[in-house]
Amino acid sequence: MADVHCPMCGKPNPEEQDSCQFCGARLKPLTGATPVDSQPIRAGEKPTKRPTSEFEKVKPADEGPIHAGEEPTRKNTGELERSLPSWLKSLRKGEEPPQAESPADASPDLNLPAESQPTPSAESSAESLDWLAGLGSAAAEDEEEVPDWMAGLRGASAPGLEPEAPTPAEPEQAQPEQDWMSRLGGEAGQPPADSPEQTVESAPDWLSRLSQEAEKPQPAETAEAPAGEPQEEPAAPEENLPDWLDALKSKSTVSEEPSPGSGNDLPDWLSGTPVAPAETDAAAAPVFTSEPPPARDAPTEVPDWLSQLQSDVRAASDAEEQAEEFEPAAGPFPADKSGEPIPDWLSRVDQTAPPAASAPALVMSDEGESPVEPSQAAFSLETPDWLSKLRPDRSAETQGSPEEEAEPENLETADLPSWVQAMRPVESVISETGPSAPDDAGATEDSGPLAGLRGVLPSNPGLGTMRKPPAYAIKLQVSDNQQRYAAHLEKMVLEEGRARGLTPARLTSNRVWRWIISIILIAAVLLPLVSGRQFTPDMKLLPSEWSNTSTVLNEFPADAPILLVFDYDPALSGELEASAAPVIDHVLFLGARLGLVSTAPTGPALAEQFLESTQPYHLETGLQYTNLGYLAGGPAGILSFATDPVAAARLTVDGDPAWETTALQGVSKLSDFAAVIILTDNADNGRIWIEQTRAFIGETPILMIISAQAEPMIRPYDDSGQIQGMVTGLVGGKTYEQSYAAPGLARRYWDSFGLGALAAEIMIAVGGVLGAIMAWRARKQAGEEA
Amino acid sequence: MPITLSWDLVTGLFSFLLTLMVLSYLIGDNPAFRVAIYLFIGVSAGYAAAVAWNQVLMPRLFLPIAEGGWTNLLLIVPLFLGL
Repeated sequence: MADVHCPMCGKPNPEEQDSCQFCGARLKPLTGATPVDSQPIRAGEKPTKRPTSEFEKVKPADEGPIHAGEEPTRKNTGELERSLPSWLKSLRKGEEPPQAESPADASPDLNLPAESQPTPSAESSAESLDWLAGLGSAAAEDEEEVPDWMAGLRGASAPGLEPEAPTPAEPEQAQPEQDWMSRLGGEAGQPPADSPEQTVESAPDWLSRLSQEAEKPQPAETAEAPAGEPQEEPAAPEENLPDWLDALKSKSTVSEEPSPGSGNDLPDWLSGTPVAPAETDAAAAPVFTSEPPPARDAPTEVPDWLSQLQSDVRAASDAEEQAEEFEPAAGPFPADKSGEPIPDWLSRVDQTAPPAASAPALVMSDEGESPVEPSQAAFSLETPDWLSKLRPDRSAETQGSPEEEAEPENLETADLPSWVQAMRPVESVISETGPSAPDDAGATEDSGPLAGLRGVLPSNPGLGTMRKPPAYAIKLQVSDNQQRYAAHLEKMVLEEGRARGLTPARLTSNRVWRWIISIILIAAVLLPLVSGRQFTPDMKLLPSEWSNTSTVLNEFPADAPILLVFDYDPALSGELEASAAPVIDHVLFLGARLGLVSTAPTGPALAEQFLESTQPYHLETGLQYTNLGYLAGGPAGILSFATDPVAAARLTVDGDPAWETTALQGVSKLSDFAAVIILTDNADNGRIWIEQTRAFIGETPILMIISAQAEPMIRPYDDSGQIQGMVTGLVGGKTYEQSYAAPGLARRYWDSFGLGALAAEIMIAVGGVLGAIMAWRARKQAGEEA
Repeated sequence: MPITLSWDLVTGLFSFLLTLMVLSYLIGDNPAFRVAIYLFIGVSAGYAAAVAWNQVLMPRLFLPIAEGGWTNLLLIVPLFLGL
């Protein structure tokens, strides 16, 4: 069983398969077996486009199309021999082809419709040459469809014949001739018929024999044209020619007059043949009458077109592989193996104009001069180079146009040989396949190597192309060195991001030193207070304001009323008490009476506590001082008190009438006081007292015992003379005490303050020295280690 | 010199204890500190109220109003304004 190669994947498949068992592509075109294919192409009819899947079937997958001018590759056509029809084989062997054998029987593998094959007939000798009948029938129907080469042949062989001259052939004999010719066209219309070898073998054989007979001395240039096996085989002997051909040969040499009986039945181009149908075989008569006569009169030189053809045939012999795919469609014509000289009629064929009807079958698309239909493009892909060179001129492309049909006299005759004309159905098949093909035949490819082909691909997209996706390895392909380098890099990155441990510093020494410093400072402060000894010497440089205060106090008369204002907070009582104690002691020592008042709620209590703590031996309540208590209202209360002290502070802290006490006897207004001493730690309170009492105080002096922090704000009042004396802070109290009083609280506080400051200074100095030594040692040690 | 238990000694020790409790805030907020400040605020408020009542309101407002007289009756205006 012969295998059918898949046009898609190229794998062999059983012949019964409609689609490829590997890829699913359709193996048999749906339109391949239509009866239309079997119809011969007649003159004036548009050729029927036929599926050209067979071309794709035989086309090697790795070969591109052969364009005009390119050298075809040699192919092995050995397998073609099996598919050659027997009659063709017999012709090669110099035998008479069997009359009953048909090309269809010789090409079983070809997927052609049975109708397209010549019908075998055993009884009629005319049917043995049935492959030429189509030619005759086509020519008989339409004079315009006569090929030019045949027209030239007619003119060459019988130039003096009248077109209407009847041929002696009987109607019964002419009809088989037409059938024979029509079947010739039908067979030639088979797509695979354009194989180079088949084409070479088909036509020139009988022509060559005729030409050989006519011109023996002609150099056998054509002997080189056939390639492969046909070239090796000897030419068919002349005695093997059929009778009709012999008769034709005998007639063709002298017959120039038309046959009287053939003019009615045969077309004009056949009527011009000198063959007498009565003398020849009915089937062979048309062939003989059409071609052999010019061979007798043909010149000895080979025409250009034929020499070109020979060279093409020679080149085609190399393309055996491509030709082997066309084995089923082997043409009915035997190969031209003869080395006979080309007859004259053939030489004139070449010099004439391009063919008209059969030329499109050879139109190539390599030049791109005109848009080529997809089907034609597909055909051009399969056309060998030698065949592409047979392309007619551009004028031939316009064949079939109305203008050309209207002017038949412009047509050149006998342009193409019969075997070239046999290529016509191939083109006609392609031209009619596209638009008129049924849709169920599959989509027609419009591009690529399958352009113009129908049904070669699966109807369902993706049916035959579904494949398992390739699996790719996800493992990284790295070498051992690369892995080692990557590991080193990763290790370096990790080491850089790792935190380094710090050595913990010893902190025990600082805590000990802190306790040592605290103990030293506390001891230095408490030592003067506890011991009662003087640790600091008396001051030699006394402040200037101290002298003014002592001068004012010394000028007081005895038993003079003095107003003491206690406007300080309990937090600063230690400083103010130390500062005010020597002054109050001086005042009490002089025998003055005291009136106590305060603008702070805690003032009356602080006043009582101050007198009891500092002057326990000088004071006697109700006799030397009267505590007027808290004076509410702030500045307003001070103003009120300055305006009318009796009304502002009517009662004492104990609730008794203040202005009736001994200490305040004779005092009814502010100016009645001998002096106003203001004890404050707040500069604002001191400023308010100075400013609010200025208008009511008269000549009474104002003395200020203030905290050291209020000195900057009060000193301008002292410098301006608004106040007459000022004692500032612990220094002022220590100075006043040093001059006019016994050593008391101010001295002790001063000693404690002085001794603590001295201890701090010593520790700072010692600490600095020790730090410098340690730094020096550390630097020295670091230098030694370095 | 023998140490005799006196009021001054008791108040002095109590004052020393309250001072330590206030300074204990140096090591952080603790109940001793809170007790000291609560006690200080209470005593200060009470003392201020007592002073204001004894030193201001009673002798300079209520007693004059109680004594009568048209001038003293005008003290009722600041009394209501101070409410």
